[in-house]
Amino acid sequence: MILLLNHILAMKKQINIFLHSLGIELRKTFMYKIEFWVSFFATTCIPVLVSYLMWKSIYAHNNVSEMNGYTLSELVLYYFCIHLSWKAIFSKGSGYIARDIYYGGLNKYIVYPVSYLNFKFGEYIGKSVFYFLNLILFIIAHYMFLGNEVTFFNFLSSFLLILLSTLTFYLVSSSIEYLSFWVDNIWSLAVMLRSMVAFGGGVLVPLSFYPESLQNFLHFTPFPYLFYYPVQIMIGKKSPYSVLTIASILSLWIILSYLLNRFVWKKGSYKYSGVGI
Amino acid sequence: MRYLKLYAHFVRFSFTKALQFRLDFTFRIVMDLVFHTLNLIFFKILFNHTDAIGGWDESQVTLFVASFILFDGIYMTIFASNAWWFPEHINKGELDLYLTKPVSPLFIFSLKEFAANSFVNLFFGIGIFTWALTQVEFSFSIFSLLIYVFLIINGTTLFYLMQTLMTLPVFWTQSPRGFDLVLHGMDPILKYPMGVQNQALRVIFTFLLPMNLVLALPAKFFFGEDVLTSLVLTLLISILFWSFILFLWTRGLKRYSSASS
Repeated sequence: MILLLNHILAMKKQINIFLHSLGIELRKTFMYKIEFWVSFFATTCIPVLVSYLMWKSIYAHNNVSEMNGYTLSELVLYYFCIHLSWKAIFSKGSGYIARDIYYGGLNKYIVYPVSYLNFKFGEYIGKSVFYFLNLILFIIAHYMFLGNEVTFFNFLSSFLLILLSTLTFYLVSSSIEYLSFWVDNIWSLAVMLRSMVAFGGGVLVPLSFYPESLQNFLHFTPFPYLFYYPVQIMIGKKSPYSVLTIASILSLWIILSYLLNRFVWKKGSYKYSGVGI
Repeated sequence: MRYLKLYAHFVRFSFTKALQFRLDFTFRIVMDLVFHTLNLIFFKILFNHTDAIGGWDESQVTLFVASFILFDGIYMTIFASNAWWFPEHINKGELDLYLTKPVSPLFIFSLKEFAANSFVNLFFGIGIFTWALTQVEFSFSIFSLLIYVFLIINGTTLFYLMQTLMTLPVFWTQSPRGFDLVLHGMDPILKYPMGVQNQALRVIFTFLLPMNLVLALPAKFFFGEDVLTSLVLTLLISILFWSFILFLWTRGLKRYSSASS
């Protein structure tokens, strides 16, 4: 009984730390308001607008109103949802752990009675929260003003899937960040991962436009489960997998990436020399 | 001549530095190869569903993408690292060091870091560009090709100036990165054929923030579309934009107060 109580108290403490770091990150995000809002509109609206214009020219050139199961307005909805999901999942970019390792910022976390992985996850989610909120607002606005086939169940389930994707991507990207214990710069690895996820996750173009052999190959990677299928469900498109199947696949990737993460951290932390100590 | 000698020193130091970190050197080469290959595959996928994008056929778009790879190689080699550290130099007061040197601080600021690893990728860019040239279905003269390459180099410099424009506000706001994310968001403007843009976007991205001058207008010139307009517009707006950035830079320097003052 005492053991159980200890466990609950330890868990409560970790949750408090997570929420605290989330709050700090949220405040940091809005510290420079003008920069933040201008960057937000430029990085979300312009890619969607240009993608829309490109597809508009393709649809007009071929004189069709639908391609691979997508009308032009469905493509706009798709691009908005996938870009906001992409920004939520890829919230902190790269270098958020590597900098601590290179410049000795990790020193303080080693002496604090907190889990570094948990603390950084709080920061990571703190950066994602804004994009999650935007995703919710966008879907509500789309439903109210334009009307689409998004049901509450579709939205809720895909939203939960994107939360799972965020955790998966955090675990994978932090494992790559931990490589900073050995190598002098992991920026190129992070960019490589981002390019592959964007391509394999349908950020550039819906995967149904890809050749069948490539689509079949991508099924064996985690990429389509991170954004593509969740967004398919969100916008009311038919997905070859049920919500439960995608959640199970993502959970499997979470377990695998967690094990990898702990392994790399354990090995790497012994290599840490602590600049400034 | 003095500046050329100085630049040669920068290049030598950068190579020495890059070769000290060999793993990173290799990673960067692989990264660029992955990035550009995926970009080429992306357009190949699009052309499975259409035979033209924004009025350009597959061979023209392939050459346009190859020009982007060439541009990226030049930009990453010469400017990217410098642009990245730009806001940090201002915020940390490291500009002091450059202001006291007997050369233009903007010159050191913009060209000090030469990315040797990206320089290797520049050859990949040249290779793809040459291959794409053999695929085009129209004839062109060596003279127009030389002008096209010159316009791409001019576009690269312009892109660096736009990057500078996004980070110059740091002189006034002291924010960590200024508006540099804005330019990343505008990547598709750079990568997609200009023909897909509507009238409003064309005006904005030609006259206000000249993204179209980086690759799209030079490509239009090379493809024989509005040859004179493309050439004159590119050169004229480039000169105006240069002057505007130099003006802002001077204003920014006046505002600079170092880190501890």
